[in-house]
Amino acid sequence: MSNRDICVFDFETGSRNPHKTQPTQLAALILDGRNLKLKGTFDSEIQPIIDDEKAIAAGFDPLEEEALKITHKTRDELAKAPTLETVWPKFVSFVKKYYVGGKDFFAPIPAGFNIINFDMPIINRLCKRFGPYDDKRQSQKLFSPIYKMDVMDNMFMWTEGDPDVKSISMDSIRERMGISKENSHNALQDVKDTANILIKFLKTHRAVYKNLKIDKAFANGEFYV
Amino acid sequence: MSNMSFDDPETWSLFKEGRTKGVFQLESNLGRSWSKKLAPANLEELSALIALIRPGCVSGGASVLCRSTKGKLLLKTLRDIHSLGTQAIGSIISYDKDKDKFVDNVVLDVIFRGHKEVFKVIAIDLTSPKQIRFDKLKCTADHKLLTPIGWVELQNLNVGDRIASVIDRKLGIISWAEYYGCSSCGDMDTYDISMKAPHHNFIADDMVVHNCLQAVTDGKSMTQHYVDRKHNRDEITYLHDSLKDILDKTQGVIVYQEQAMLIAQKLAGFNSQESDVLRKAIGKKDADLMSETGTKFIEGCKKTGIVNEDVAKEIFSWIAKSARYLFNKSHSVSYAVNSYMSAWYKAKHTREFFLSYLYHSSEKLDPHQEVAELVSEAKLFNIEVKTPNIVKFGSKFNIDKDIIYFGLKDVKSLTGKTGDSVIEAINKLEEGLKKPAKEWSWMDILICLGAEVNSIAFKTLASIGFFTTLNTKITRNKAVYEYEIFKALKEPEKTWISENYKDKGWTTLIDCFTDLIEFKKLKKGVIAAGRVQFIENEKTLLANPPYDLTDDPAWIIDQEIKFLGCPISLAKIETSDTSSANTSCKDLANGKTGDKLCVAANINRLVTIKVKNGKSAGKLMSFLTIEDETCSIDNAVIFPESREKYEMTLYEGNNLLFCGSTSKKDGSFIIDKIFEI
Repeated sequence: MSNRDICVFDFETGSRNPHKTQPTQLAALILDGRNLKLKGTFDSEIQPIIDDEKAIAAGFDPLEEEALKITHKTRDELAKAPTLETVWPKFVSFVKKYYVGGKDFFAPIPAGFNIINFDMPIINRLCKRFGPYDDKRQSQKLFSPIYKMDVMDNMFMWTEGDPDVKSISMDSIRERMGISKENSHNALQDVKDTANILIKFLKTHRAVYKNLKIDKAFANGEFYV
Repeated sequence: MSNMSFDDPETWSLFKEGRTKGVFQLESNLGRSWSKKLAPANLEELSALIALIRPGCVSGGASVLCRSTKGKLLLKTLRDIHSLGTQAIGSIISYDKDKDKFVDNVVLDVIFRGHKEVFKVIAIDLTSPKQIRFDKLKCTADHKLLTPIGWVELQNLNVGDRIASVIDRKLGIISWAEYYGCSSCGDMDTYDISMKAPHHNFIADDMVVHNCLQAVTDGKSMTQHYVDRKHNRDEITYLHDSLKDILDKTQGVIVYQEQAMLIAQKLAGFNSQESDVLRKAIGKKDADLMSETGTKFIEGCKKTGIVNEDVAKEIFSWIAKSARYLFNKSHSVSYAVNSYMSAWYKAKHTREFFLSYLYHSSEKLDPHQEVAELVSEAKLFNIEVKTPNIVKFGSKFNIDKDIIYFGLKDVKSLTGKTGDSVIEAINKLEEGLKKPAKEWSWMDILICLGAEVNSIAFKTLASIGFFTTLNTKITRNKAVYEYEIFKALKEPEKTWISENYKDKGWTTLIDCFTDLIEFKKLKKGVIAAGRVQFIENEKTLLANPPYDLTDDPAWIIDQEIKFLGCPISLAKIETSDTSSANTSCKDLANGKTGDKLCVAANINRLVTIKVKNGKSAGKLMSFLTIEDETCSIDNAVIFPESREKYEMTLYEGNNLLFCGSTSKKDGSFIIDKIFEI
């Protein structure tokens, strides 16, 4: 399973609706699927449509001040960043560097924190707009079409039985695992932290997996439900 | 070759060391392995070796019934097993005729046999209510299929004969389907399987077919008997002393049809004509004729009285069993001479040998695999192979100052007309720019050549380092990155750049874009303003790329594997820290022994099998081909106890530090410990 690389990525955005938000930063790390070592880093700020009216007219959410504050960005700074239409092809080229054997089917597995609900819809939207997009499946064609790893789901699986855990937000996890909150909500720092958590879990999974007794687990006919 | 002699020590040492890639008849893994085991020292032994390992063939598309290491039945094509390695399957299914059931068998090797004419075999199971039709198997005319009277070559089957076909894979039910005939499918890639005794068959496209023609007695193939006897590990024995003078040159093993003829002449008093009938019966595997000749043989023995009836029966039964692999000696000696000649050429004109084989690698079914094997073996002979570079390149593989260079047309994506067009474009531009390609700057290449060749060709060349020279000082990654940015410009913008390049003399793409922006600003309108912003964005991304554009070794290796078939500029192991190693693969290949050896190497091939006997029965052990920057070795072994500990690190492509010792028995490298590096 682990012959594909893993792309841990994160968008910083100007609002919360993944279907209409404007990305303001995109960062990604590529991890070797086998040994989980870092293979590559991508980081770029992205110039959104600064003018709110123009953004609305173009069908996007205007930049929210709260979002700018959380991500420590200003409109003036973002106005100097390269636009999405120039950054996106670079990101596509970057990810494609890690297609095993150059084949789409062995594209990196997308990973991140809460990507299923937030970042993957943005990826789908951008792939549809700029490519690569799979028209038949109506889905992005940049990452693995099958697998994805959402660290939030992963965290939920591991902690759902613990009544003391009240939150699995990124900041709660940082605190629990002893990761500094400095520079949080900077996409690059977020992907680094997420990658560290993911690696920790994958290493734990791999160590535990050897002792799991799942082969023919129900062969004796004793089902739970 | 006028000065070639048949007693050249260098040539014989190639056979001894198993360095027979490209050597006639012994270039497969199987051939190399047996050559090393036997270490032939003269033509007689070489001829016997070639006779003994002679195989038959099935088309590469045949689906072979296998069992995964988790116990699941699965179908894999021979081609896949060959290219993925036998680790792609756990075991192969054989048919145990005596017990009428399927059994798991161990695959030793899958051997590519080249392009041969194959025939589609058609049979119908009339006993089944559905009258199942079997028409997928394609094999050579001399390949054997199982019939109720034993193994019969396809060419000797008659319409209406019964052949063993599988009607239920899971339950292992065999039916004797009626042979309806065969039709030629032309030349196809063909393969065969070498497997452990005693079941020398496998299920291909639901038919029971024979594997490599290797006879077995006492649980060992005749080749193994021959090897063990040659190296004095086994005693040379004869069924009767009278056979000694006929078989002594072949270690007491019957190898040739001529030996069977001589035995018949000596013991049964056959004349030349009668013994030739025996040869024909052997050659054509004619069961009736063999039976008839057997009766005459025993009667003849009674008359001569050299051996008694019981021994006569035993000897003929032994000849009959051997008939399935016995080979014509004149053919075998001719093959041996050809084999020696090619090995001699390899020993004496090594560079030319490798150049020639690399040059013709494109004619092979899997050119990249061929190139990878040749490049790997070339390292053992200290021959350097390099990627093409704009400073030094040719159309096909070429040699310069003892270094072999890939030709442009040996690069994937450039093999056909694309390669010609690139060469043509470079030649044309040398005239236009009035300087040779080796003096071109990166901007010459990007702006001038980038406009002439297609995108795939340019990016391929950039990815294999074709443009990375002392003059250009551009990394492969950066070349691809800047080319993509350049290609994103509109045609009029690229034309403006081309037209102004000579006058402006830009040294970087950033300078070029600065002038382009100024030019675009002179134009008015929304579209022009949009283009100015776009180019400014690209300029920003040129100055501050969002990812590292230095050449990561792992990426270089990936690209070279993709476009050239194997890593050329770097070995995979060079992406890891190898400082803890005290031995190289080449040291082991050259016979270094010891018990505290540590080799930092990449797993090139991993074959895992289930141990059948002994205290580790049922557990998995692995055979590894490991490679470092010096060469690759294919005789590394990890036994179950150690394997269990390091299971998660054992996968093809992984760089590891292997620690262990060399086996006193066969020199293989036995791995005890593994460290991640």
